[in-house]
Amino acid sequence: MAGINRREFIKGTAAAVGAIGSAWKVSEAMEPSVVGASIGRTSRRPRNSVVTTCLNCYARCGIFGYETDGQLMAVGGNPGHPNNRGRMCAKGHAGINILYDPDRILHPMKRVGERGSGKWQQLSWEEALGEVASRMRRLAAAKQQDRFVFLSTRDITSQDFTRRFCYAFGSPNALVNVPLSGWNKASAQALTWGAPFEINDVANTQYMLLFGANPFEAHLLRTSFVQRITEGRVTKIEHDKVHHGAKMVAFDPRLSQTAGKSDEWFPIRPGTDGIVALAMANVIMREGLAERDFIDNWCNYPFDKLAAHLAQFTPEAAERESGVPAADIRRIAVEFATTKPATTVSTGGISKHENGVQAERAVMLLNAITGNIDVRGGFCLPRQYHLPQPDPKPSVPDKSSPFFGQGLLGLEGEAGLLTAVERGAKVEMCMLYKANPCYEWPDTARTKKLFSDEQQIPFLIAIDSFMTETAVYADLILPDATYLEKLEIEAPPSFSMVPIIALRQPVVKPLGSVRSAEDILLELAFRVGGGMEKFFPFDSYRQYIEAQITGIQPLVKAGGFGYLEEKGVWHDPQKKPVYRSYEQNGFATPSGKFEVYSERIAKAGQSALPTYVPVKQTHNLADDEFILITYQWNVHTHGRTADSMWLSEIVHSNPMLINLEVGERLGLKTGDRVRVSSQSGEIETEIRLTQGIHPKTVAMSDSVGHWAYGRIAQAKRFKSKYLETEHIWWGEEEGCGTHPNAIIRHSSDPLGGGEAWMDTRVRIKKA
Amino acid sequence: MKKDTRWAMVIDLRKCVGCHSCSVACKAENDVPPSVFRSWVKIIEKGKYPNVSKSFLPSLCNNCENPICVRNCPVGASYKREDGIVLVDPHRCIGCKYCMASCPYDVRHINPIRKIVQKCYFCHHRVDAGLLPACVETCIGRARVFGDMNDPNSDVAKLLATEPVIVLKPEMATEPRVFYIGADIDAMEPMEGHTEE
Amino acid sequence: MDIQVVYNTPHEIPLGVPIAVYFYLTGLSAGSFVISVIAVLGGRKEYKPLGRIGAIVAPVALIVAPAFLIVDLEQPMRFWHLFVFMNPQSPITYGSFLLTLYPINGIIYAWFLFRGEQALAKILGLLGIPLAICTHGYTGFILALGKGRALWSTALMPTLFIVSAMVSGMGLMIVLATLRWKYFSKGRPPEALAQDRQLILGLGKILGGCVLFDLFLIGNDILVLLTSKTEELAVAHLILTGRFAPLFVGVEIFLGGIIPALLVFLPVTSRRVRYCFLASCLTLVGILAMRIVVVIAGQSIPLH
Ligand SMILES: Nc1nc2c(c(=O)[nH]1)N[C@H]1C(S)=C(S)[C@@H](COP(=O)(O)OP(=O)(O)OC[C@H]3O[C@@H](n4cnc5c(=O)[nH]c(N)nc54)[C@H](O)[C@@H]3O)O[C@H]1N2
Ligand SMILES: Nc1nc2c(c(=O)[nH]1)N[C@H]1C(S)=C(S)[C@@H](COP(=O)(O)OP(=O)(O)OC[C@H]3O[C@@H](n4cnc5c(=O)[nH]c(N)nc54)[C@H](O)[C@@H]3O)O[C@H]1N2
Ligand code: SF4
Ligand code: SF4
Ligand code: SF4
Ligand code: SF4
Ligand code: SF4
Ligand SMILES: [Mo]
Repeated sequence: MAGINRREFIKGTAAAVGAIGSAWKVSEAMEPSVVGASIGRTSRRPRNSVVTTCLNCYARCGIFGYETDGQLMAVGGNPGHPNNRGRMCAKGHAGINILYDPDRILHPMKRVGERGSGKWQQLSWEEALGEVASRMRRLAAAKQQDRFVFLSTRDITSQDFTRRFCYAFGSPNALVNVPLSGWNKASAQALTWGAPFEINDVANTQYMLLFGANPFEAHLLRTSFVQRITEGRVTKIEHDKVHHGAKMVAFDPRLSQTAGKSDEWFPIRPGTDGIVALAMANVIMREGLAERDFIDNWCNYPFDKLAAHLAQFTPEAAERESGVPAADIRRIAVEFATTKPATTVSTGGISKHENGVQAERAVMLLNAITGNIDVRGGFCLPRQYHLPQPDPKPSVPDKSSPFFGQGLLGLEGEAGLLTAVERGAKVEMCMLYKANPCYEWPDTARTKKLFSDEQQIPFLIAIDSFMTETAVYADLILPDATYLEKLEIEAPPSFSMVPIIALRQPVVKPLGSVRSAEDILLELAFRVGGGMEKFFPFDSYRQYIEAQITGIQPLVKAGGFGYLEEKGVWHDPQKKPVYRSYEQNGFATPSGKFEVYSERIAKAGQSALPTYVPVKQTHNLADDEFILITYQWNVHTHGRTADSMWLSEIVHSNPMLINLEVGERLGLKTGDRVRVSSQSGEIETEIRLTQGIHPKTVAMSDSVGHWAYGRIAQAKRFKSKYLETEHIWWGEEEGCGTHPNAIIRHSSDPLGGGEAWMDTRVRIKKA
Repeated sequence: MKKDTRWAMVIDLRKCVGCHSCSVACKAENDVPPSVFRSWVKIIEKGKYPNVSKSFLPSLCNNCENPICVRNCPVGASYKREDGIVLVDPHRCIGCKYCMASCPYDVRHINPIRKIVQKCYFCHHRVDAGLLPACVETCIGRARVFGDMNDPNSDVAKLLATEPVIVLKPEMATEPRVFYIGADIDAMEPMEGHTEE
Repeated sequence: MDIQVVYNTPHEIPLGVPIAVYFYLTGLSAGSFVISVIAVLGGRKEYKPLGRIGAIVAPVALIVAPAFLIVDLEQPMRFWHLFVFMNPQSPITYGSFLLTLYPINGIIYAWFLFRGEQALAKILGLLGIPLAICTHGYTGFILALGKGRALWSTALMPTLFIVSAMVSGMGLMIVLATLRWKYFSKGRPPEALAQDRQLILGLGKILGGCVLFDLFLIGNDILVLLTSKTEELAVAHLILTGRFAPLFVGVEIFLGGIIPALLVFLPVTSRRVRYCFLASCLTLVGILAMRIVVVIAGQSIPLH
C-alpha cells in the first residue's frame, strides 16, 4: 500500500477511460485510483491499514481501518469489496466517533441504587460473569430456562451465535429485532418466492418504480445500492451498447431525498400502495402488456384467473384510496410494462404497515407479470451464502417461545415481548445485546414500564457499548467491543450477483476492558455448564468462524480464514453472474413456483392472491386527524449514531414535517412547537412546513431525540479529550430532537408479525 | 507531477444523492472541528405541492485560478501552488479574516481551536501522494471526479470537454476549478429561499 | 418560485464591530487632520486653535484605531507579520505602512505646530494630507476589493469613506471647539469668544456641505444598488427596509444626515452654537452607524 504513486494513478485513469471508449458522453467517469490508502496529514507517512467490514448500519460495507501506533486515525472504503467498491457513507466515516466516544462504557458495571437511578459500580469481569452464570445455573436447576430471554439486534450474520447460545441453554426465546423492520417484507417474499428479500439490479435497469423506498437516505445495503442507482440513472456506453439513463418514479407520502430526485413523485396516502400496485397490474394484464411466458411457466396461478382477480382493482378505485390520479396509475403501469428491463424497489414505506405483507406481494406481482424476475436489470433473487452452524448443533427447544410475534411463518418477534408479558408470560432474566427497546420500540411508556419493573424482568443484563435508554434500567452492563474492535463473519447479499463472504476484524485493541459479545457468550457457556458448554467446543470465536467456513471448499483452497484476514472479502472466482437462476432448481416455495397464489396465506384466513386490505387505524380520518409516518435520516442509523459528533452536527433535530398549506390553515409556521397526540401518548415537537408532504400525513424521523445514551446525542456541551466536544453548538439553538416512538402504538401485520410503524393516527395542537 | 498540472474537480449533480458523506469524510481527513465545514451539501426543496423536487449542491473552495482571497491576503499566508491548489500557511496567517470577507463563496472558516483561517485545499497531502481527495474517494453517488484538467486523458478533462459544466458565480472572474454538471441554478443562487429573520 | 433551503451551513460574518470602529477612528483621524492642516495653512489667527485640536486628535485617534484591528485578529501576537511578509496586491499591506507613516508624520507635525514652527508644520501638514486621505481611503479599498459583497464592491467606496471621514472629522472638531468655547474660556477676551463662535458656526456650514455631499454619494450608491443584480437588490432592501433599516435610514441618514443638515442650514437654528453642536454630535453618531452598516450589513447577504 505504500507504493501508490502518481504514475499508477494516471495509468488507472487512462484504463478506465479506455473502457468507456468513444468521445461520446463520458458521464460514467470513474476514478480508479481509489486504492484504499491513507497518509498522515502532516507526517505524510502511510498509515497501517487493516481490512475489515463496517457495521455502523446493516449494509456491511468493506472498509479499511487506518491506524498509527495503535490509534485509529481514519476509516475508508475498500475498493476491493464488490458491493461498496471503495465508497463509504457519512456514518461509515464517523465510525471512529463511536470507537472513541467519550461516553462509551468501558468496564463492566453493576447497578447499586434503585433501578434507573443511574448509580453504578464498576466490577471485574470475573464478578460480572460469575453473577450471570450463577443466575443462569439457578434457572436451569429450576428448569426455567424458558424464562431466559435474549433480545438482540438484527446483527444479520452473527445472529446465529446468539441463537445457538439460547438454544444450548435450553431457551427458545432468541428474539431479534428484525420484526421491527423487515418481517413483513421478509414474510411476503418468503411466501412468494422463497427468499427473504430481493436484489434490485438497478445499475442495469431502465426503470425504477419505488414504493416506500428511500435508498438515497436509508436502505439495508445503502452505499452499495445507491451507487448502482446513480449508475443506472445516467446514460453510458457499456459493452458497446448505449445504456440510456433509467427513469425513476417514487411513491412516497413524503418528498424524501430520493423522491425529490426522481423523475416523478407521487405523494401517496400512507398504507395504500397495495391497491395502486394492484391497479397497475390490472392495467398491464388488461392492456395485453403482461409477459405470458413467465406467468404461464413460473407462476402458480393461471393467467386468465389472475386477470379476473385483478379486474376489481381499477385505477379509479385505487385513486379513491390513495389519491394518486387514475390517469397516472395507467400511464405509469404502461411505462413500467413496456420499458425493459424494469424493477420495483419497495422497502419499509410499504411493509411497515398492518397490511405490509399484502402490499409487498402486490408489488412483487408487478415484476412477475412483466417478466422482470431475476433478469439483468430486474428484480433478482439475492446471491448469498448461508453459513452453516458448526457441529454439534443444539436442538431447538421443544417449547415454542411465548414471546414470538404472531407472524404466519412463526417468525420470532421482539416487541411481542410487551404483549406476552402483559398476558402473563414469565421472564426471570433478560439479556439485551445491541438492543435498545426503550428507544426503538413503539409505545415508549409501555416499554419503559416493562424494563423498569423488577417484578416483570427481575434481572436485566445489557451487552452494549453505550448507556442506552434501556441500559439505564439494567442490573448489569457488560461492555461490548465495537465493530472496529471485534471479529465477526458476514455473508451479505452481493450486487455483483456472485455471493461473497467478508470478515470483520479488530482494527485496534479493544479500549478499556471491553470484550466482544461473542467472547462473553462463549465464556458464559462454559461457566454455566450443565451440558451447555458441549455446544461450544471452540477455544475462541475465531475457531467457530473457521469451522463455519470449512464447508466452503473454494475459500478454503484460497487460504480460508487467512485469506479473509488479508483481503477482507472473498468470492468464488469461478462463479459467473447468472440470471434466471430459478430455471435451475425452481423457487424455494412449496410449489417450486413463484407463488402468486399462496396456500399458506389462505390457511391463515386471508386472501391467497395479492389483495388490498385497508389499514383500520388510518382509513377514515377526521378533519383534524393525520397519519404519522417516520423515516430515517441519511446520516444516522436509528438509535445508534446520535452520539457521533460529525453526524449529529449535521442532523441533530427532527422537526415534524407538515404540509405547508395545511400548516398555514392551522395557523402554524416553521419553527413553531406543537403537541402531537395519539392513543399511546403525547409529545411536543418543533415543526417544519413543507410543500413536500401529503396533506393528510405528518412525518418525523426516528434517528434523533435521545434522553440518555450520551451527552453528544443530547446536544450537551462538555470538555473531553476526544474531539472538541466543548464546541458543540447546536444544543441551545436547536436541541436534540424529539423521539416519535412515544406516540406510536404497538401493532403489527397479522401475516408477517412485523411492526406497523406507519399507521399512527395523530392530532396536532399548537403548544 | 507534470509541469502544467491543474487540479480540478467536477461534481456531476445528476449522480449526487445529498448524502453528506463528502462533508464527513472531509472532517475526518482534515481534522475539521465542530461549527465549521470545508465541504458541505446545500439542500433545497422547490416547487408547489405536488410538483416538488429537491436539489443538492456540494460546496467547497473552488481553488480558483484567480483567487481574490490570495490577492487580498496582506501577509501572503494565502497562496496558490504551481498546480493551482490554493493553500493557507498556518504559521503565517494572522487571522485578519480579510480573505474570508473577500471570498465570493464563503468557503473559508476560522478554526476555532487553532485560530487561523482554513479551507478546502483539494486534500493536497493526499493528492501529492497519488491519492484522491477524501471526499472524492468516498462519494457514494460517484458524483465527484478529480484530476488534472490539463491532461487531455483525465476524466475531468473529458467531462469538461463533453458535458455542459457551470461554475459558481462566473461573473466574479475567479475562474473556479470546481465545476458542476447538472447543477440547479436555484441551489446555486444564495438568495433563493433565503428568509430574513 | 417556492424555494426552501432544507440544509445549508450558516454564512459567516467574519469582520465584526471592532473593524467598524477601526474604520470610524481612522476616519475621525483623517478628517480632523485635514481640517487642522487647512486651518494652519489658512494662516488666519482665529483658526489657530482648530489647527491645534486637530493636530492632537488625529494621531491620538490613529494610535487607538489599530488596537481595534489587532484585537480583532485571531492571532494578535502575529501582527508583526504585516510588516515582514508583504503582499503588494493587498490593500491591507498598504494600510500597514500608511498606518505607521501617517501617525509619525502627524506627531512631528503636531510637535512643530505646538513649538510654533509654522513653516515646518505647514510642510509636514501638506505631506500629511495625502497620507491622511490614503489612510482612510485605503479602508474604503479594503471593502471595495471584497468583490463578493454587494454593498462593498463599488468604486464609490473610497470616496464615500473620505467624505464621511471629513464629516466625522469636522463634527469632532466642532464638538471640541464648542467645548473649549463654553468651558475653557475663563479669562479670554469677549471678542475672542465671539470670534470662536463665528468660527464654530462657519464650520457648521462646511459640515453641512460635507453632509449633503455624503448624502448625495449614498443616494447614488443606493440608486445603483436598487437597479442592480440580485444581491445588490437584496442588500439595498436589507438596509432600506430590512433588519438594518433602523440603523441605516433612522440613524445614519436621518439622525446623522438630514437632521444635522437642517440644523445648520435652517435660519431658526443655524445661528445658535448649541444647534451646531447638536448637529455635530449627531453626525458623529451617524457616521459610526454608517461604518457599522457598511461592515456588518455588507456581510449579511448570504454568499452560498
Ligand atoms: N441512513 C440510514 N440507513 C439505514 C438505516 C438508518 O437508520 N439510517 N436503517 C437501516 C434499517 S435497519 C432499515 S430497516 C432500512 C430502512 O429502510 P426503509 O425501509 O427504506 O426506510 P423507512 O425510512 O422506514 O421508509 C422508507 C420511506 O417510506 C416512506 N413511507 C412511509 N409510509 C409510506 C407509505 O405508506 N407508502 C409509501 N409509498 N411510502 C411510505 C417514508 O417517507 C420513507 O421515505 O434502512 C437501513 N439503512
Ligand atoms: N418510529 C420508528 N421506529 C423504528 C423504525 C421506524 O421506521 N420508525 N424502524 C425500526 C427498525 S427498521 C429497526 S432495525 C430498529 C433499530 O433499532 P435498534 O436496533 O435499537 O437500533 P440501532 O441503531 O441498530 O442500535 C442498537 C443498539 O446498538 C448499540 N450499539 C452500537 N454499537 C454497538 C456495539 O459495538 N456493540 C454493542 N453491543 N452495541 C452497540 C446501541 O447502543 C444501541 O443500543 O428501529 C425500529 N424503530
Ligand atoms: S452504508 Fe455506511 S454505515 Fe452502513 S455499512 Fe456501509 S459505510 Fe457503514
Ligand atoms: S473559492 Fe474563495 S477561498 Fe477558494 S480560492 Fe476561490 S476565492 Fe479563494
Ligand atoms: S486571515 Fe490569514 S489567510 Fe486570511 S487574509 Fe488574513 S492572514 Fe491571509
Ligand atoms: S478535497 Fe479534501 S479538503 Fe477539499 S472538501 Fe474534499 S476532503 Fe475536504
Ligand atoms: S458524497 Fe457525493 S453523492 Fe454524497 S453528497 Fe457528497 S457529492 Fe453528493
Ligand atoms: Mo431495520
